[in-house]
Amino acid sequence: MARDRHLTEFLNQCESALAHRLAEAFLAATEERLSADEIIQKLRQVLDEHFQERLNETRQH
Amino acid sequence: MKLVSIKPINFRGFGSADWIDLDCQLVTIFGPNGFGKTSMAEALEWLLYGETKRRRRGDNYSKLEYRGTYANVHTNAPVEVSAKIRLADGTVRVITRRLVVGSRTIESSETFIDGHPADFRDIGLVADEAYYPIIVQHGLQDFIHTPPKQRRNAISAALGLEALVSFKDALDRARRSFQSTPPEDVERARTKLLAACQKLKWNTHTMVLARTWESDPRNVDLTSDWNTLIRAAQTTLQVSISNPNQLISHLKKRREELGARVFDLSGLRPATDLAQRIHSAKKQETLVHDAIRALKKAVDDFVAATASVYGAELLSFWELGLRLSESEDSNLCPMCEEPTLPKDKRTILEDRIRGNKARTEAHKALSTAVATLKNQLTTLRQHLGSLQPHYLDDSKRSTLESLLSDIPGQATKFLETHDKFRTTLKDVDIRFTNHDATLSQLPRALDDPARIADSRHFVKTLPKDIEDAVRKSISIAEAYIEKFETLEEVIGERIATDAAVREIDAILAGLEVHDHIETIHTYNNVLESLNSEVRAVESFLQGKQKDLLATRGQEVREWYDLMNPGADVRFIEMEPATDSLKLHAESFGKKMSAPACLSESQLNCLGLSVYLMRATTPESPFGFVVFDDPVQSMDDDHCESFIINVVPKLIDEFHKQVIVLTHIKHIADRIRDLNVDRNPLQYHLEEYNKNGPSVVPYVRIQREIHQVRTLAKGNEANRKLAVDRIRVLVEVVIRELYLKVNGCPLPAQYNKATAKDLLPVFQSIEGTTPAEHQGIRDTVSFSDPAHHTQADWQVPTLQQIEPHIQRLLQIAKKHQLIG
Repeated sequence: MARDRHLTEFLNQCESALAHRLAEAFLAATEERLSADEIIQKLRQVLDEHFQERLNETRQH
Repeated sequence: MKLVSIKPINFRGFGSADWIDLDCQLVTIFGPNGFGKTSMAEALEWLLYGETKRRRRGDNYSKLEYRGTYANVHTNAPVEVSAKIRLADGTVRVITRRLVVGSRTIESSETFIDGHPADFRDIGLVADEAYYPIIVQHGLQDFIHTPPKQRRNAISAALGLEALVSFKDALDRARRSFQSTPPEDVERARTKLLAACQKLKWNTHTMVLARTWESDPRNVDLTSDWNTLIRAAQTTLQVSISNPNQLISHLKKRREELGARVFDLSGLRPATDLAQRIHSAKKQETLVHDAIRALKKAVDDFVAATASVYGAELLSFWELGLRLSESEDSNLCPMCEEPTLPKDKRTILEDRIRGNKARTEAHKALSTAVATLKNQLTTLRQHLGSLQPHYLDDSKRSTLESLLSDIPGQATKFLETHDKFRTTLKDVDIRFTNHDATLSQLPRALDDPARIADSRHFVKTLPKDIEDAVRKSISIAEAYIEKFETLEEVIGERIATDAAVREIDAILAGLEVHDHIETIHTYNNVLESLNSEVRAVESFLQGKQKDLLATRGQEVREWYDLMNPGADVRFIEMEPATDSLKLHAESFGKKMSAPACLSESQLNCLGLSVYLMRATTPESPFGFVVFDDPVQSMDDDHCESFIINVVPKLIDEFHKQVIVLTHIKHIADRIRDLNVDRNPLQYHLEEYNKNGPSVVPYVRIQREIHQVRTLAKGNEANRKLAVDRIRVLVEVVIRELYLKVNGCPLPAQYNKATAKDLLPVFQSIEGTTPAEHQGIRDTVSFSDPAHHTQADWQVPTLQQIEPHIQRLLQIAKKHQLIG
């Protein structure tokens, strides 16, 4: 799945850093053969981290 | 890549199997239910994909229940499946997958190529859902009777969009999780904002903001909401400053002023560092006790020195006498001029004079101890005094009582403690004044033997008294704090209900949740980005689906039509939509839902068609298709269409190696008969035991002969059956011979023909001799069931049956029907 051409094609045309980060976590999780629920947990973790980073940035400004 | 042979070891129904030769364009494997057909198909599936669809489905139900089910229950590790495969360049490689059971019995696997650890992708074997070459009956309708979204996912996977669909699904689920259970910071921020709304609504400038947030705390606009609050503060304070901290400071000051108009608590408020003051008082108390102990010792020393002392006149007299005496050796007294001052008397007098000097020292020490204690007591007195707040005058008492008149006892409770605080500290102060006076008198009092006892009693009881004074002072101070806090809360509420104060409080409440507004604002932005990502993936996915269905959907339809030629009720198309995919059918030109309206057989054909579409994907590395009971729920016509249309198309048009596993013997025979020129391999699964099935090459005539011989050796009933089976054997020999000579099975008109009906056919087959014709006629006559009803007919013996078996065996051997 890591080398899936359609997903790669989508990511190539997508500029969002968040999407790339989520895709990276998704591919890593599928490579590890994690269950669907475990994959969601990994993505959720990425989202929580992304949120904290954005919040820190907002507060620094 | 084509399959040359396979060897499943300890995998599901298989134990220690040998290599099973599959090196042929067409292989049929016939075996009863439960004899390992699906195990064989799943062995290949697991070898190539590392899991089976059945197991994946099962794991979703219960991982615990399905754990360990790749292994044969009767044998031990290793569990592995190997296959010899022929690659496109003609080389033959051996690929192996071995089960690895890790901690907590979690299963994984490792792969080998030619015995060395390697990834199958290294030789181009990409196990993609879009190429799935294993078609198992139990999975055919997985995507039909399923919720629209799962169907969409399954079809998308078949179209090669699995990763994209999985990504979109995972993204969507993560988004829902992020939305329904926000991070803790966000939950906290929402709660704070809702609480602030209760105050915001009391100011006309912030009222709308309160309504907006209250309707949904997600309705936060950082810039606009913050500007509203700053403007509200500026308007209320009539200032133009825009620094939030300055505004907050001004607002608080204004609030204090407004609050004081209701009731000024400032004088009653305990010192902010009261806890520190109490701590200091306790510390000072320790020093006082140290000083008391020192005083007690000084008093004791002084009293002891005084007890051995003579009057001052006498001491002066003796001191003068000793000084006036002529010498230390003379015993003459200078006063009476008599020898009354011997050496020992002189020593006594000298000791008396020295004792007086010690008393003087003790007195000095006593004075120092008294002074120290007085100082320490003064400091302690100051500490205790600092605990007290200002006291209410009569006018303020009345205001307070009047303000709280609607809460019975509220003012009284506070005032009681307030007054007790006052009297306690006053009492303590008086005690300290008295102690100070007593201490000042102490040295003189000790000079008077009549007052020594009282003085010592004073010093002895002083620690307890000090301790009591400190305890009472601190205790009442703490009680006062508690009462004051209650009072402050009540008065605070009264102040907060003041309209002007409320307006200030509204703005303060808004400004003070700035960080929380930022939190929600950031969260909203992240959520919106996430929604955009999900929409973008979905849009991309739908575009891809549309493109692929335009071509590959047509392939599905073509496979379907091959199995349903000329049908008026049939599947027609797949239609993609957001999170769903509709399957349409038609009945005499009228459109309808395929899952709801088509028969099981038609739906099986549809399932097969989707699998066939993916198995024939041009990019697929797999040059074979495995069918596990593909026609199980098909009627004869659909089944025949599958055999005569689908199998040859796969072999001839797509150059696929076709392996069919079935429990229906005539299906296996029919496929073989129609493809005899391809020299197909045919197996029979038999004698299933703990080690799995025996996979035996299937030759019909040999099997029939074996069966007749076994019966012929039996009892009368068995021999009677053997005679019946001879007829069947004749039939099989003629049909096999016709097939071999003509390269095709007998025409359909002979499908139900008996051995007797087939005699003319036998005579017409090229290469047969008149002697053989006569011999077959004799055998048919011997086994004719009409004899059974004749009065003198007796069940033949083994010796009578055997020549007929020999005859048929010789014909079969002569025409190379068996080896």
